[in-house]
Amino acid sequence: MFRKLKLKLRALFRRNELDDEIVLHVAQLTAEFVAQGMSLPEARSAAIRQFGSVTVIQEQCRELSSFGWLEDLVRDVHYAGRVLRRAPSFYAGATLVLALGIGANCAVFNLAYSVLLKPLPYERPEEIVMVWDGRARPDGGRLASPTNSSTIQMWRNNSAGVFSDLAVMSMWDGHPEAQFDLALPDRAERLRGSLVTPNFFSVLGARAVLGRVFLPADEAGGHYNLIMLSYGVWQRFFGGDPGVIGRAVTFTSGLSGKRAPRLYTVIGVLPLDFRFTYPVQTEVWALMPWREVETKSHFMAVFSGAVARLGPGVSPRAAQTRMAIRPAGQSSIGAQPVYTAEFTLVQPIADWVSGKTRPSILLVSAVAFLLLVIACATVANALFVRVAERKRELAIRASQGAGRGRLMRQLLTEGLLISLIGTTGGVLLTTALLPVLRSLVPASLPRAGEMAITLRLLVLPATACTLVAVLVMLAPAFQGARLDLAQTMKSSSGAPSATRWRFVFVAVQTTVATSLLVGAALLLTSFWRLHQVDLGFDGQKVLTAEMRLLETSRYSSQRIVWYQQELVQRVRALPGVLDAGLTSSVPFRERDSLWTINAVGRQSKYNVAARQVDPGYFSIMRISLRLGRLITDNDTGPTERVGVISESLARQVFPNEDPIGKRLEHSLMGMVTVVGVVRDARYEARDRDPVPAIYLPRAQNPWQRISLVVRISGDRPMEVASLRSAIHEIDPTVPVLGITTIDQIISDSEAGRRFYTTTVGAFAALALALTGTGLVVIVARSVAERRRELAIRSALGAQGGELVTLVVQQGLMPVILGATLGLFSAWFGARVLEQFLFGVRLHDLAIYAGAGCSTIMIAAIACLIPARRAAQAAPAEALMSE
Amino acid sequence: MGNASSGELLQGTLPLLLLRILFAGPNHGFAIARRIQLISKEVLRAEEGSLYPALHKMELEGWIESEWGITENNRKAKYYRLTRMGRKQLKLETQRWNAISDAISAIMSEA
Repeated sequence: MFRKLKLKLRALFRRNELDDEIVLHVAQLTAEFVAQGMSLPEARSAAIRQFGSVTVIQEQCRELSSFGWLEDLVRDVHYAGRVLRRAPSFYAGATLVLALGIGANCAVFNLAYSVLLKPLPYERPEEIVMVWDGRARPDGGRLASPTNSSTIQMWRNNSAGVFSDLAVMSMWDGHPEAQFDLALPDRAERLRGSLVTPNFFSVLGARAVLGRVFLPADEAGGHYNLIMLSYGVWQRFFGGDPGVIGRAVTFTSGLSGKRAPRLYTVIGVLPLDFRFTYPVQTEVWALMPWREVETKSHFMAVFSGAVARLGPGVSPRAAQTRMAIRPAGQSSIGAQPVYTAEFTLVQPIADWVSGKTRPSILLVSAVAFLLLVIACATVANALFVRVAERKRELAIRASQGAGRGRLMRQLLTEGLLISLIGTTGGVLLTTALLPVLRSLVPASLPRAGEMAITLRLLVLPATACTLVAVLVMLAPAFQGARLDLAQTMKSSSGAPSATRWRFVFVAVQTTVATSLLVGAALLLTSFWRLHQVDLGFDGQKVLTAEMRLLETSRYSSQRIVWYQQELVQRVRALPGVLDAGLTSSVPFRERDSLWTINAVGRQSKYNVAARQVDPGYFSIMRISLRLGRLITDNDTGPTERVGVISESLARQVFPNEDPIGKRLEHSLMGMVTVVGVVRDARYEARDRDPVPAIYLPRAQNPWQRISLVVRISGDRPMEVASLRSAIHEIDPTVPVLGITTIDQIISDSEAGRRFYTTTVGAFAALALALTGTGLVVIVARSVAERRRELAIRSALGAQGGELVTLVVQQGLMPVILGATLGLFSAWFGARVLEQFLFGVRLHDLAIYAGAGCSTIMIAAIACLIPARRAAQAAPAEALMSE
Repeated sequence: MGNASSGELLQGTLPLLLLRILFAGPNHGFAIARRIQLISKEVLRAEEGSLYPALHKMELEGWIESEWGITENNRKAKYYRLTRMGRKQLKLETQRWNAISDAISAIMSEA
């Protein structure tokens, strides 16, 4: 056994031995012939003739050893390399097409993996669910709502047998709230933090990288001012110093009257990869003992939720049913109901993190896959043509003794080599472009920043590579293996089956390309229509910054009014500033405060967005007046409370009446007289109807949240630093958040839509370009095959134009079939796009017609290139060349 | 040269002839072919197309082994030599050949 292996290995590595033997044999024969009286050249050729086919002997000897396949492979690869080198530009083009297709898929899969598939950094993350108390929005959406302690109590009561454990954390609309001011020597840094119950980290199964996490025992400890830091905060503000554990650090935290500087003891640092909220990261976690949850002290104005670990065998759906059971006679909401229907929402944590982005990621993945299909078809088709052109060569190899299987294997090896190079190129391309990709991907996409090329992710390109090789080479290999030697040697015309294959490939390509084009056109039209939407305000060249005067001990109502005045005056004096105003909420950034107001003399209540603004706000935002007057500098003091309402609110509350002088009421604003009506403004999103709104003068309604809006001249860039220092001069302890332009905010809010629209658009364009390029190659080939025929036609008097028409017509046949099929599949498949569309009908005939025509037009141009060349060729030359 | 059609070997007899020739002593491919031709008085011919594959197969079977040597006219050549297994094989094949040969003779003379 062992000896045999040795011999086989020897045979493998000493392949030259056989050649030497053959050389010797031929030399001896030659010598004999010379001795018989032949001349040396005669003798040599006679010897070679007698010896017969060296190739056959080599093949036979090789097949004896079971390493033959390996040797064959080495030879095939070697040979394939030679083939590739012989037509470098052709194969470079083919591999480039594959590299593009595979690179696109590699990148998109990478993204999909890190956003959707990669396990979250918790222990058995599939068991972890979020629990929310929710309201249904009037438009059918869902809205997390403030959760009070009685709801939390109810959850805890219901959780036996459903959850193995449930922890509560404070959240603001699903985000950690920016309310922890870390006192640094020279300034205060506002961090995003959550208050969490002692079992929070044990529910997640998280461990500290330094120190320890909160433990249920901390409840009994009595010392509640404990805090945990994220890895980032530890690095940024504590220089990664391990001595931070046990250190007392001052944070100003708490809301309303409770806000005050406190000393917190740092007990632990979380690992670098631990994250709880996406895309905004929680930076600090403070302990919130259960006893405080039960006494409601933390839940006055805090949106909160719970995170829980499902008990064994409990599904999220079952948990949701169980959690919704409310004790009879108990209403979960203390304050006035904002929205009617209530429910408890239990959602897997992965859905909470990336559920909203799943459809768009899947869309982009599907489109990338279609692009790969097109790339494969293009390359397969081109190689097909190539095999047809190499028929002679293949026939010669066959006549030298290469078997059919051998030839087929050879062709498959070539395909494998091309796709291997293509895949490597694609992976390298993706790796090289990863930083660019990361910057292209919207920041709002959760976890996209975690994209990295890992070994595991190479599984996809490797699989794709093999598939591509088989797809790309199978048909040509069959074709090549079915060579009729004699016929091939005689003529150069294409076999009918080859023409059929080509037809199929072109039809498939155009089908996919056309449906992609329809999809891209629908998305682009939606995007365009969205941008046509009148927002009702103008955010161009408006800078914004946010301050929150959270410390009520220092900021009484009068003090807030003073701060507001100071702020506006100082900012107006800055160079480059045209005007400055104030508001409580910036469009597209945060949700409005929703108030339920009464109209005096009416039964119904109205949900409205309440915005506390100053007189300058309307002109800066270019929100125009419809009726009455705007807020003025005289609307101060508690005497005559006034308000300006939006058109939709006016229509809703006072249909067919003059709203001016009517009165509205809410506990937080008191009795307000309507003095004016302004245009509706879309504050949430372009595709959301404007929420009815009431604008209240800040002087009468001093509000902790201050958002500055600054109209800048734009001639020279407004200096952010000077704005920041102007604000700091008033009170250095108030941190300034989120300085940016409103345009930027709007643009960021649309980053997701822009991302998938441009990706699908780019992929569709690429698909069309590939289809066109493929067509040029195919038609050129069929023209070459029909050279004789075309020449004869031309010699018989056919005009150049007629020949062009002939070629183009034939080239367009599969295109028209493909485009029709593509339109049909788009028509029936468009449903998947429904949720991405805005202002465009799913079956917009113009779009379908446009897409179909574009495909055919581009195909026609692609056919024209070789067709014209054929028509210009001199007929005599063509006829004589064979 | 030899007549190809009459020189065709009976199926499966080439290894026997090769083993027998090598029994006389180590030799290289060309010489083996020539000896077959010579001894059979030009009746039998080992075609190059089957000679080398057969030799390689026998080597893999372990009946013969090879080493490089120098021919009488100073050329490098691969010399094949019978192994112990090869001797056993030769005995076996000779017996089988004798049996077949006897059987054919019997039919030829009596039928």
